[in-house]
Amino acid sequence: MMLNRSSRMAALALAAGLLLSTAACSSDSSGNSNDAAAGVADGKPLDPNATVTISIDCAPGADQAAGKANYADDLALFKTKYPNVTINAKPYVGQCEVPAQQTAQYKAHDETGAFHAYFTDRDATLNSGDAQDITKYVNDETLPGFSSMLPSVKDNMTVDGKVYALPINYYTTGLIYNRELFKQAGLDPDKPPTTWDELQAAAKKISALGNGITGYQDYSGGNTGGWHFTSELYSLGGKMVTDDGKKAAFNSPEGKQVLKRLHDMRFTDQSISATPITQWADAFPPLATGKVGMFLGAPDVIKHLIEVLGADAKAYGLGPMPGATGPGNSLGGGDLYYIKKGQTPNQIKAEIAWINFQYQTPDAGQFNFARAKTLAGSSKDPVAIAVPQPYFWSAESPQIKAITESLKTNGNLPLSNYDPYVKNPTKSITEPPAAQQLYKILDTAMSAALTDPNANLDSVLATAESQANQILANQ
Amino acid sequence: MTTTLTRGRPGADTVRTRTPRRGGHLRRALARNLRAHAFLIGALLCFALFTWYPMVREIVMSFQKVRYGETHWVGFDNFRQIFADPEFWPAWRNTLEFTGIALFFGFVAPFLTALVINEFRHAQSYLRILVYLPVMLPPVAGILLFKYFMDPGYGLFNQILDFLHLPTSSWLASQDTAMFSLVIVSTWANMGSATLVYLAALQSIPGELYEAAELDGAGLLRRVWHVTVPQTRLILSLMLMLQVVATMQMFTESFVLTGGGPQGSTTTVVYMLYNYAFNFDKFNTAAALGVVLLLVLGAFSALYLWLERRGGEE
Repeated sequence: MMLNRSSRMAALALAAGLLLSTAACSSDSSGNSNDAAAGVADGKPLDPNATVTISIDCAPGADQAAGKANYADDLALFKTKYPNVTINAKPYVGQCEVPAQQTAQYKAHDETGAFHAYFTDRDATLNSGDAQDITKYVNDETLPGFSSMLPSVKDNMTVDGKVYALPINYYTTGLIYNRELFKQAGLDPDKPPTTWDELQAAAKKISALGNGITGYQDYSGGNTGGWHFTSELYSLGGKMVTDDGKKAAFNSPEGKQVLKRLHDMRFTDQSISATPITQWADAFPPLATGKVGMFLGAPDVIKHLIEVLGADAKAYGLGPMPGATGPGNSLGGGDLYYIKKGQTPNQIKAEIAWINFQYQTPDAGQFNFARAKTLAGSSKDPVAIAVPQPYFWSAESPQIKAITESLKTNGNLPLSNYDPYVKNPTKSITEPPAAQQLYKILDTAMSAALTDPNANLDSVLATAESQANQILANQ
Repeated sequence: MTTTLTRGRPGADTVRTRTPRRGGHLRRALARNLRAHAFLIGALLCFALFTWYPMVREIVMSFQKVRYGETHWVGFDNFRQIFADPEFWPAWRNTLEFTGIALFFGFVAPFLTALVINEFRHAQSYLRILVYLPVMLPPVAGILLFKYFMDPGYGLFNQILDFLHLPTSSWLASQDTAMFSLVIVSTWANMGSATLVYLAALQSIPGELYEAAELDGAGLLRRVWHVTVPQTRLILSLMLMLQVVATMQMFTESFVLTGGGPQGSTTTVVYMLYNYAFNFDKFNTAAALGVVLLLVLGAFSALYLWLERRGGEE
């Protein structure tokens, strides 16, 4: 076929355009146009002279003045270590990750280079196909203390022996309580309830104070109802799913006991308020304003109450998770950063370096309590340094020892208020498979227990079981 | 074939007779209304991109599943899954319950309000603004107000009832009253637009008809029944269809106020769809549910058009 002159010119221009755009695309996707600058996955830390741009989400936003200032300071400190690394940090306000928003982000493949997810979201994150296997990048050299991380944390970072995520927060659920209300109700604020029977009795006494004060509060919607049900079930020794993960196991004596107790507290004792709490954040204003005696939560809830809602820092105590006969098992949870696929080795190394600096290094980043103390001195906004929690290393690790020491020196919270929690470490159990879906189903059961005086709790739990079995079968 | 072109381009006032080629005819037809076609292309592109493409994509997705980033064809698996979901039929029951109650109040309240406003000689525009105000509020902000009004403990509504020595209600906190509470919120939030439409229809009725009816001795109710209703029949039936389609897709009220509870009593089909997509990470199952809803609403709209056409022929 003969082409005339103009056709040939057009074909040449098209070919040149395609070549250029291909080159541009490959340069874009790798972040660098040559291999030396892109780096190699050799298990070594990032070369301090490497030039690389990375992005990360969940940086503190406008509602966390102190956190925001600390983060900005950390970015500057990191820059002195890695002068050619540029970090585009995306701030958040409220809850760092809203499940619905995260799902939409996964569908649009719109994550930042390092992206945040809760332990709960492992299935959804891996299912998105966007998470990078970083096994070749992580070791004790790139992440000091990596080998001494708690097994329950490692379980949540790895799948089939491959590492996909780095932890930045780890907690076991405990009992947050208002020490002032305990005193007013004639209860010992240094001895919070350690069994559910004790908790029920204490809630009754606190509610008797009147004036709109409720002894205990619990969730019944927005997936948080099922989340708390799971926590309470674990505390009694119950299981969410069978050992093979194929069937629901919560329709058990322990599961029924959870619902029955809450129902009794709501309708017989009247020690739970009539207002249902159906969203995560809705639980906090009543806690911050001293209207609630007890609530199950992670240590970071206390930080949120103080820093975001301006609650009195001395008002709260933290106890262990109540159980059947003493402190019970606890639902472990936490936050991770996954690394997005399609980045250069140097980008991955830089993200690991930043996460390690910001979240996993004693006396730096989130553990830079000395700096937080200085900032707190001049800050108009409340700063909470810091409620102790297991973080992610074993208790004997040098990391935990250093953090505990620094906290004693620099902390501004009454650490003895948290002794009942710290001195009674409970066994941590990980979240079930298809966690968000099971939690959503169990919202209905919690809603029945907390809103319907005539609820048939056995039937409600049986329905939830059949729904859960269907979901587990379709995994 | 010989075609007589009776409509020329502007300025071409001669009638020409010729045998056109198909392409030439099309080209001329396009050129004749170039501006109109340009506007049409814009609208068509918008529809194609934002309405038709998502619909086709939804139908395709309803037969697929995504696992670890890879898409597979799964036939009717997603449909089987939603039909086997124990929440499926209760969600339809809730949707129909909401539609039924909301239709009654959402239809009657704005119509009566429009009738009353229409009777005012003065201050009509102020009243129109007053009625339309809730529509101007962002929906979530407006709806959130009711979360506080309807709180069973400290809510405004219960305080008023208590002040009047009337029994208080659990409002959103009980499965017996939650759906009705949502209807109250929905009616408050949406009646402004319907009222304005009815008011416009009422004002287009010739005054002579009412005068004639009055001369014949018709009272207020008879005038409404024999003059107003027949004269606004077309608008009323159109609004009925639009309201059925809108209320069957109720989501915001449930999402903001009850989270689908208590005990799933306010979980509607669209709320269930949202859960599948965003809480369960099952977009394809959500797409299947969307297709089912599309078919139901499509069937209802077809039935409406058929009844309308039959009514028109009679």
